[in-house]
Amino acid sequence: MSVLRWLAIGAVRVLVFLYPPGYRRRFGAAMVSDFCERLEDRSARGVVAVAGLMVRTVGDLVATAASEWLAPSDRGAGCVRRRDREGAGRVGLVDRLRTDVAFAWRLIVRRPIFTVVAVLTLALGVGANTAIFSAVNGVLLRPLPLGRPDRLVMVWESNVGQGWTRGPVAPASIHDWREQVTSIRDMTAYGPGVATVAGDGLPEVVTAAFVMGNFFDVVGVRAAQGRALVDDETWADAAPAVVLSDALWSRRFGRDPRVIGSVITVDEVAREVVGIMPAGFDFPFRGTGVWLPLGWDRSARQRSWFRRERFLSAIARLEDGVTPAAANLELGVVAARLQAQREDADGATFAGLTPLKEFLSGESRTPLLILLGASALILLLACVNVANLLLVRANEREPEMALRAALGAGRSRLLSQSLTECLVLALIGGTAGFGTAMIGVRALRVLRPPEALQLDALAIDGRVLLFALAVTLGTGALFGLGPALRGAASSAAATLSRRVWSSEGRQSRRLGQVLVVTEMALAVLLVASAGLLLRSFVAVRQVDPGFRIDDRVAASIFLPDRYGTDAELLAFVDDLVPRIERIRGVEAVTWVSRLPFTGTTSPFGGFAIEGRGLQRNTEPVGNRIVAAGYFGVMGIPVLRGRAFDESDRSGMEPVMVINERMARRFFPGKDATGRRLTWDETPDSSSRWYRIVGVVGDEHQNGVRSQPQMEAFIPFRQLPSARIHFIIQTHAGVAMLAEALRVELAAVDPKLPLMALQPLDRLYGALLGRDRFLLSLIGSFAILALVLASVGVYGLMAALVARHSRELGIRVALGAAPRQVALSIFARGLAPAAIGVVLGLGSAFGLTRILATVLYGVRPTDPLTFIGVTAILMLIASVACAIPALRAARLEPTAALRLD
Amino acid sequence: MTHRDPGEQRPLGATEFHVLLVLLDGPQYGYAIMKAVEEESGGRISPEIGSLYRLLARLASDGLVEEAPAPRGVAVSHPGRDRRYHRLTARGRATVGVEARRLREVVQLAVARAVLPARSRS
Repeated sequence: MSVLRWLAIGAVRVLVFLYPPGYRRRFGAAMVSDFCERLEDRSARGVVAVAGLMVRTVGDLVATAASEWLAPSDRGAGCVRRRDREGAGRVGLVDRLRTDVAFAWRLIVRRPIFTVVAVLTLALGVGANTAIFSAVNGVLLRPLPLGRPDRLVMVWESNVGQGWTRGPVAPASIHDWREQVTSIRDMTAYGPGVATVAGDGLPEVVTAAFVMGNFFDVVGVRAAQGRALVDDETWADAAPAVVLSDALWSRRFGRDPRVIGSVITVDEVAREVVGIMPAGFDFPFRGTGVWLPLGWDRSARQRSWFRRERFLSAIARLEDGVTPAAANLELGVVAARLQAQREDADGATFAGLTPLKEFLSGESRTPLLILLGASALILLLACVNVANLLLVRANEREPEMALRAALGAGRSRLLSQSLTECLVLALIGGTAGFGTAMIGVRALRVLRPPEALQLDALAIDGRVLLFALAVTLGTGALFGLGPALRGAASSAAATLSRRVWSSEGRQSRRLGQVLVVTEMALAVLLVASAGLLLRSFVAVRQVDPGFRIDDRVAASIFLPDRYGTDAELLAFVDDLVPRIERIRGVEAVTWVSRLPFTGTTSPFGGFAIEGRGLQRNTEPVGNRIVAAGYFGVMGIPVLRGRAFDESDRSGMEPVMVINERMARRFFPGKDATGRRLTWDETPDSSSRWYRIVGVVGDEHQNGVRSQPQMEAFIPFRQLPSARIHFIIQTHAGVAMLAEALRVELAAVDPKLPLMALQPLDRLYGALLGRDRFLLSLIGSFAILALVLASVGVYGLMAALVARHSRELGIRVALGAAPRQVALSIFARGLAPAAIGVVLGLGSAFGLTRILATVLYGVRPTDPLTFIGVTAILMLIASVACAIPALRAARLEPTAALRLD
Repeated sequence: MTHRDPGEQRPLGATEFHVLLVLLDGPQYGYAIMKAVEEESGGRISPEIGSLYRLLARLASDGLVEEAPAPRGVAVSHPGRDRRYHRLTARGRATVGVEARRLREVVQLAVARAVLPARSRS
């Protein structure tokens, strides 16, 4: 209660300032005192009574203050007063505002350079903030385009021991949880994929979402035309159906409504188009073109893969009134109970849920908040700079203000005029800033990394507009108040007598020094952040992915089910590969079952080493199927033994190549080659044993930021896979290669589509997308900060020299050496700059910790970065101080003394 | 500023009249006036602080009320309070009388038209 009391009294104290000064002086203290007494009486009746009192009092104070301003200052008696007022012409708030704005406008126009500099500074500050806020708004604030998205949660499983968290779940778990967790109203699941849509024209590969039938029900979205899928369509016994996206419908079917009910070929299966989703809807993947039922056989529920293979993302809708925390608790209990009932229980796995929005924006949250923080610093810096400019000007205008004060203008009058001027300036700057933001949003769209940040919904809406307005007005008040108070407070008599030696100017100089300290501290923060990100970026760039990425292009082909046997798969490859090799410019071709940088396939469970029994993996061991020439074409060194060759085919002894990390972990200090290994956890005579024939260098399969994973390779000819990613080494252009490839593929199998070619260096670049994005934005903020800070320091020192040129002239005339004068000026400027740098380093030391999650290979308190930042900023401050100092040294005493 | 005769005074507002009535008992400060007005009007009139002070300012500029020193002993018993006392001027006292008479005439009109019973106290 005491806090509430304190707040209430504070609010009334502030509100009293709304009244005209004369009135406030007469009644202000008494009003506050009366309010305190009333509050004490009211407190006994509880918080609600106090809140009611507060609301009434605030409303009453605001209303009466406004009418007091509008009323004439000279009160007549009773009704007479009203008559008088009509004749006397009212000098109300509105008129006063009009005069102030007109006056401010004249001042602004009269000083174009000042205005341009101030407006540009503000435009950059407001623009950067608004642009970044629009990204935050799109990604973090705007609700998902789903029905009541706040009730949706992502359900996941984690196994910390095996190194995966918030991972996908198995189909059986979804069915169990759906039935047993009471706080979940319904639950659905989806998996990623691609599908080949055929029909008229070339077959086309589109992004597909494989979903349970109740997917659209659970996420609460209806089809724009036709219907969405229904629950029963989860299973294979339902008629094959497909739902199209609006984009695909436009692109491929020319928005023909007759498509609904027609049959199209998807992945070589005839499916009925049952519905078309609303325009813009592509949940759950960016650019989803078709939604296909998962199409499980009903008997699958009894199969072991149904329970063991985790490959689905699960979304649940909570019952009304259930909090995610409560649902999480119940899910945890149910999942643990189900785990305990299983024979092959893996006790370390647990289930949990996260609000969907939070889950989906999780990756982007930190970088966006970092950017928002950085842009706020820039805005603050811009405010300080404009405040600095205004302060210099307030000093110049001091005699004018003093004269006006002497002629009878009240302090509040001068103050309100200065503030109006600032607000007008802020509004111009804000408008320009909004323009800057529009450009900024476009730049963000271009700069946006492909996958790392979801910035699709980047747009300027009402909320962004409101934000920009609030920032603008806040800015105006922030940069205007100091100088305005300073201007209004100048004593008329003291200023008009214009003495040389006095404390005059000390106050404003101190304010100026505070501004310089602030500027330097803010600049240090931004430059230090940029420095850390730069060091991190360099560190990431220096990571060797473990394989060559230059002049290598990936081309993916997924063979459909009709390639059912190993022989058919091998025949396909044997037909196509020589054709690719004959394409002009192609130097070598190889293939692998997973695209580089997209991870590995991790078989469930452990494996057994001959003579040593079961090896429970504490971290997953990956598994890829590769062509014989894979290691050679990719430039992966063979460290021991041999790579695969053409003799490793079916009918021969199964062989395997492992990477160095796996060799070190399971055969430390020994030669792994010659040893045998099986994926069977309980090997018997029927088990398939692989002989390790070689050890190769590690690859960063999951991207350069994560450590290489343990991995075993199996030759394609012994275990052909239907997923083939050709890696083609070539100097030829991608477009030409694609054309030639299409021709060759059509010659082998005209029904097969070719997916977009992906140069490996572009895939690698995409991995660095987020780092590059953050670095380029924070880097430009830092450069901006340096410019603003140096302009600020320079401006202050230049104004100091100009203002004190008379004093300096006298000092020189009295025999002071020009060098001494220069040094004293230099020191006067450098001291606050140095304090600012120290303060900035202190705060940077604490605040750069926020960057920890996005940094790689450098600590957030990296000493080298901090030393570098200090050096850069002190250098810039020195230059900014040196120029005015040198000018002071060259002052002609006679000229300086004649100035007034 | 010309002060007219109380007889020429426009009718007072209900809140104004109640405030003046309270001050007939002697000097009072803001919150005490608020409480008294609320009590005497049966809770029907309950001015907020901002409105009350605006009203006092108006009554003062109309010459009906003036500021007064705190009654003896009161300031000491309430340390830290910044109470500001107001009292009726002679003109204010006269105005209350004029207004009361006017109201009595109004009431008589109401009685004559049988809105109120003749023996009612109010």
